Amino acid sequence: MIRNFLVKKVVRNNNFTLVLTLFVVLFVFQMINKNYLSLGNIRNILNQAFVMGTLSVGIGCLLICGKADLSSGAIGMMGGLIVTFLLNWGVPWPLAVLITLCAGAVMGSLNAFFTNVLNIMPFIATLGVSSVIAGLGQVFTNLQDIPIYNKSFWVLGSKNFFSTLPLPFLITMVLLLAYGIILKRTRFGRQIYMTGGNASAARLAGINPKKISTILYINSGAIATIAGILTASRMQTGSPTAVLSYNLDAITVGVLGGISFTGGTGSMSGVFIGILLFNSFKNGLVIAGLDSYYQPVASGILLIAALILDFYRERSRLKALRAHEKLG
Amino acid sequence: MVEQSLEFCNIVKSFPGVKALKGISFRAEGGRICALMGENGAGKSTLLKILSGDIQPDEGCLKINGEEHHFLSPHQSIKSSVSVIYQERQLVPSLSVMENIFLEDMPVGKLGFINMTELRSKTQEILDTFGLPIAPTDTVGWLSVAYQQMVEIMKAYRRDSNIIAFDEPTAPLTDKEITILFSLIKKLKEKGKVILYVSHRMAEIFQISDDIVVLKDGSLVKTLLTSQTNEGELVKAMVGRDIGDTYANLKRNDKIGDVLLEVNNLVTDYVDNVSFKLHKGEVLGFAGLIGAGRTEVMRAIFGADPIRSGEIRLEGKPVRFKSPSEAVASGIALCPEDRKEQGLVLKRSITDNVSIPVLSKVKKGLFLSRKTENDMAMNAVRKYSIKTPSADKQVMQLSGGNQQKVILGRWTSEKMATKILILDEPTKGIDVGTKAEVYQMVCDFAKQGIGVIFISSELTEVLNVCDNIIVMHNRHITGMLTREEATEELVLQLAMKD
Repeated sequence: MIRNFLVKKVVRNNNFTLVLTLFVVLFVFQMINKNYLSLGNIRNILNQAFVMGTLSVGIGCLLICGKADLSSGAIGMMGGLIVTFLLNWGVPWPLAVLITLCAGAVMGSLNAFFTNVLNIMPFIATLGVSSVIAGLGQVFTNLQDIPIYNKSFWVLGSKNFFSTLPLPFLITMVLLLAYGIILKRTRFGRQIYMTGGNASAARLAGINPKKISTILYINSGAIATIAGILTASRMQTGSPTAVLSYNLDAITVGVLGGISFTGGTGSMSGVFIGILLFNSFKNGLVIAGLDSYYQPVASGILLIAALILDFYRERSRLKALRAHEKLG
Repeated sequence: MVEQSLEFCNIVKSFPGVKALKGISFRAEGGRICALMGENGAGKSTLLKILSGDIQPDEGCLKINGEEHHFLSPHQSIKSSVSVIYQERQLVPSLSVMENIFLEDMPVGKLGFINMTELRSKTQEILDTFGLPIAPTDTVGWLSVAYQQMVEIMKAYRRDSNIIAFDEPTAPLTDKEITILFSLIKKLKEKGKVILYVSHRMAEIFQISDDIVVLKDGSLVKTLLTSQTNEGELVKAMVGRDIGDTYANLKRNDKIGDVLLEVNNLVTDYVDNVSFKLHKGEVLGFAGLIGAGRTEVMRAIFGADPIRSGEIRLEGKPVRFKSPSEAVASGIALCPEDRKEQGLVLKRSITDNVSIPVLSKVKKGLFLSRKTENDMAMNAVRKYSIKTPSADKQVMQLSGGNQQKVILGRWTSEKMATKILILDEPTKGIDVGTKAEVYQMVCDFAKQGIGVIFISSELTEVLNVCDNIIVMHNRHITGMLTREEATEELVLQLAMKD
């Protein structure tokens, strides 16, 4: 009886389905190419994963709060440029990183200003901010990559643990863990869920929804620059095109990981599995011999798949609601 | 004229985990109004949804004029001349009255353009038949809720529907509007239509219906002739037991204390010059028609809407809350009228919904204490006998009455230490049995020294539960009565006084 109950609970758990899918993906590609699960390729997968992984922490929190963020990629890109300029001016790297994080927070606060003070729809506001920042990046660099000469800074992006775990991905994991705990165990985290679930009800229960989303936009900006800094360090260059394209991927892994597009549900553990699943799949396509031009196609398909999944999750929720509510 | 009839034949419908309808059979005749009654969860709405083709029954069928029908979609239902008018109106607010009435069947000229002249004259004809003072070209979104509902009915009439079902049509209407609605329904009745009428309001049922079908837990309990029954018998049939006089058994608070809240000359964008006092342990009723400004007064006090001028004193000290969070921190709680939209976070658990205003008090160091939270929630579940297997259940899976109890549990926890509890239509959409429970809870809160503000549009409830009653009309207070002096007539007079 009890065992049955446990089995049911595990099976219904969204993360269980994701892990199962992940194993299927790993198994299928391993069958196609024996090198898929080699240490070297796992390191590859994780190295490709950290950018979207880091972005997804900030974006994920916003999604749970019911807010969209399309500007993280651009802010990350700008973060990479800022840290590059600072380093090349001779600023020591810890200070350069710190300043860049603050700059990210400032860029994030633009989103907060437009959405909370001017009441512009988050989707549009962040799209606008993204476009402006991405454009400025090109203006500052003339669309040229800028090499970084500070060698001690390179370590951030190139260090590996146990020869498979790159430092950037470790940082992603630490962020996921930290924000997972904040979401599930702290007052602020609970307020994020309640705001995302029903902002007007949360407001009447004494929460300030605008304050919550303001903090989250600033937070997302700062976290985005971490992705930019790590990318710059790994590439040893500041590039006006880096990180940009990962914004959509970060949303995809969030939704894939069980964050509802309408807000109020989801977890960082789900996002973590989403990141692994997404990148294993993308890498697998390359390993299987598909042209790399297919990668955006794969991303798009995964995003749509994630949204369909979200639609069905939401529908089963609505069904439960109807079954219990509308009998009378 | 052919005699119209509608027959439900042994309708069975199950949802995951619930048997909503357990074989319902009855017959409604043309030219008569058949009322469907029952507590929440009795199966009334499910039955209407089957009639409208929105959902399909597991077993059984519908017979219209003796002919068997199985509706697979709303479209088929409409084609068989059935119209179901739901509470949530199915109109396009940005279009005009005539466009809405003829939405799927616009008169088209030779070139495929809509013939506006014909559209207007046809609509005017329909409006004249019922004597409605609106123009065919009025934009629907700008009409009052009542007239929007009329447009919906016109739509059903235009389709020449022979079967028209109403799902709690009067819930959003004022008394005056209800009168208009009823005269309309009676006209439809005279035209020989089959009319089904779902409502929770007892008085209405006796006013308008010819037959009453009572449902309980998905079964048909009784079919009554309205002229041969009374409220007592009907309530007994609905709840399956005699609840006697709900109000006579109330254990009321008799010790009213000092002034808790004093409002002087409050003015906002929605209310004018409102002044009143609330005492400790008092249940202060706010009566009036819908739209009189009662909710708006409370929202302003609570910091949810801006205040233009006026003074608010909480325990003698002047206060002016800039946001609900400040009000909550001072011990004021608001249970909004719209539970689902404004009160609860439906996707989250009972626990989350109960602990939300006092999260800073369930912290242990940096983190929330799950045990404290769970204890709080279980306390509420036990105290108010919320029907749920555990406190982790999503609130959306609870019935309306239990949802209301979750909100009450939130605001009356020890940690919240509520001083003033504002209840806005707390019994709306709640079944008779739970209503009685809520009334007793209100009196219990008063006994604990809480000042309770009780907004309700149900007169009997205000008259019987509250110690003092304030009546509002058209944005300001028109009178204040004690329970002893208040009568239905007096309150109504004040509620309509200009």
